[in-house]
Amino acid sequence: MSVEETVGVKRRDFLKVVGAAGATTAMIGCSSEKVEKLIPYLVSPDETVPGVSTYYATTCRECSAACGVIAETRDGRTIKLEGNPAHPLNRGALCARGQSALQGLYNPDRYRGPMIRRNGRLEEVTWDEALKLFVQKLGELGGSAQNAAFVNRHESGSLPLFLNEWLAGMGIPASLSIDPNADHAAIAANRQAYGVAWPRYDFSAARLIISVGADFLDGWGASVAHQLDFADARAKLTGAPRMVYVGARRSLTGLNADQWINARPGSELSIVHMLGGVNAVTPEQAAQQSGVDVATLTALKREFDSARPAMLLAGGASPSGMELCLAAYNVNSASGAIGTTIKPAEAINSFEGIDPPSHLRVLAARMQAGAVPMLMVRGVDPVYSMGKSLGFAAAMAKVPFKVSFSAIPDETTAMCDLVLPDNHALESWGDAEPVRGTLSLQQPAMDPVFNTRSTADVLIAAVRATPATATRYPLPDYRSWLLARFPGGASTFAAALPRGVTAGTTPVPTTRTLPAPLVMPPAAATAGD
Amino acid sequence: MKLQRKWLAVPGLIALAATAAMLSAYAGASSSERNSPAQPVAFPHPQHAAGALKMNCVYCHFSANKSPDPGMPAVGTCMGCHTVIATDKPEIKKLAAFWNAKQPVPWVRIHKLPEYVHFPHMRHVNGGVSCQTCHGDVQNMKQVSQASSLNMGWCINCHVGRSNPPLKARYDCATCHY
Repeated sequence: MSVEETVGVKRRDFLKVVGAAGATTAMIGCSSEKVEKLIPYLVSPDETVPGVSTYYATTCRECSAACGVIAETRDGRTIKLEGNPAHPLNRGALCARGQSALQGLYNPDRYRGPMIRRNGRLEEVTWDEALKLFVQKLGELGGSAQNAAFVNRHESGSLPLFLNEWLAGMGIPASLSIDPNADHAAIAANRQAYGVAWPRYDFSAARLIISVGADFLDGWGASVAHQLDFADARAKLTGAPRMVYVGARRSLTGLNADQWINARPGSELSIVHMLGGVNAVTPEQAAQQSGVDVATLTALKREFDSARPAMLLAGGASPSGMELCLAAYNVNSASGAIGTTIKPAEAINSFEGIDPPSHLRVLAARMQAGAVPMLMVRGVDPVYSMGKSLGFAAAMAKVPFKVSFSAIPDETTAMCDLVLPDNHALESWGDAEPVRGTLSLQQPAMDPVFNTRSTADVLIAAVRATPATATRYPLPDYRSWLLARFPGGASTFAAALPRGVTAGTTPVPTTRTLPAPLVMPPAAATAGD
Repeated sequence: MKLQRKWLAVPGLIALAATAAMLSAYAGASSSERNSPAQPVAFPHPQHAAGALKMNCVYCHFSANKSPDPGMPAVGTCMGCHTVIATDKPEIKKLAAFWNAKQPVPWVRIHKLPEYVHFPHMRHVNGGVSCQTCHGDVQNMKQVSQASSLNMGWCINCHVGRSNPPLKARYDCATCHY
């Protein structure tokens, strides 16, 4: 036996390895392909060409702003959203949140169908069973209907009108229109100062923009509109505005600013007062409060005094939110910014009609007192968003019958007795009025993924199921209701649909009269916080 | 030295095998040409596309000239005629059973290109390539079988202009490969 033979690969071993490898390759690589099936449609849907996309103009409902989107749908599934160039608010742009609407549409956690709580657990039922229970409970309300409540996600357009009309027919007070992400302090201040919820900020008209805590490029108000206007302003070859951001957190707005002043949280008001010379606040005093050095604040004050037109924005989380916003209004008013850089006449309409959190607190107090016989919630999650200290969950537990129209499981729905899951916005009909005088149309870009129904359709079906009230809605669904009231009628609607926007207006929701709280809520109910 | 040379043979042989595999794939030796599986309903193309009817392919494969996907006819398209025609035939009874159960017919796929190739039907149909050029005389096939190898060499043959009549198309990689 030579040394080589013991160390090297033996001929037989080599052949075995090569043979086995070859056989494996032949098995995997050259076997006849997996049998695939070609599954045709049972009945081909109209206007559908497999493999070719169809584009639908519709409205984004991810926040209150109501931007226009173009939904690309292929083989019956929406696959991409882009901004609608014809839309006055977002002009073809779409924010990350709007882009992610598809994640909500195909969310695997979405409710597959209606559910009823039996023995403490939500059980899947048919729509007939769920509707029957809903109609029965509505019928049992009788005279106590005036104490029932409907909490709705805020949106502009015809749906609030439809909803309040429906509620009035049932003897239930108008719905609460809730937007947990809105800057309520800024909205309350705007309403008091300008008479509108959200004026247009014309960044192009300003020479200097100072933002005190208002993250206007990322989530503060109609961000996409702000981003576009700000980009236009900064692209100007001459007279482009300088931007200073004052705030503890270097937000997206802070990152895009020419100067970021890292002020201590809670010191915003002193800086605004210093800029306006209110209460004789000196840069020294503001510096002491904010932890910023005097020279920086003195320079800021000097710059603000010399730059005209200027714009001072204030907002964001702050213990004195509304006071801060009103102080900023006074400074803007004194510097002549109102009408030049801040334009209430070109207001963004989307934020009109949002209920302040105090209204939810009043509702919580009434529920806590056991005065609410039935609670209906659609599209919002107050148990989660209201904060535990307000005790919304404990109050809600005292309501005998709770209905949720939520499409996905959340903290509020987990407490409900009946779940009637709503369609996703991309599966629904509707409209919005983002800018006064312009309607943004909403149409389904695809059939519902799951066994869900549009809440407006469910409400109509509930009325039609009762012979006594069936005549109230002669039309079978919300789409027909919408078309019947649409300015110019169904033909105008159909003609405007491909573009997604059309001239028109919906009546402003009237200010609601809330039933008086039976027990005063624990925290002072100011409109601002 | 002797030991090292022996080990050199292993990568050498592997390289040789890989080259052979690629060449054979290019030439069509590994394609599923002449693959002709039985279908859940024995649909006779000659009855429809030849003979007295001479239906156009695009009547059923409705998107061959406007989409990458040629379009499989919906069961409803079949039932458009077969609710009244030849309802007593055993195969039509099978079709009607699918229709009544609201189930699509699970046709077995025969023509399949690898995932890394895109083949837009409409470009070829609108460019003057007849269906038969690639699919063979389907109108005479009692049971459809794959007439061509559908391998790259076979594709390139036309793209460089060696078809009859000669047509020419781009043949850089990105024309067909992603």
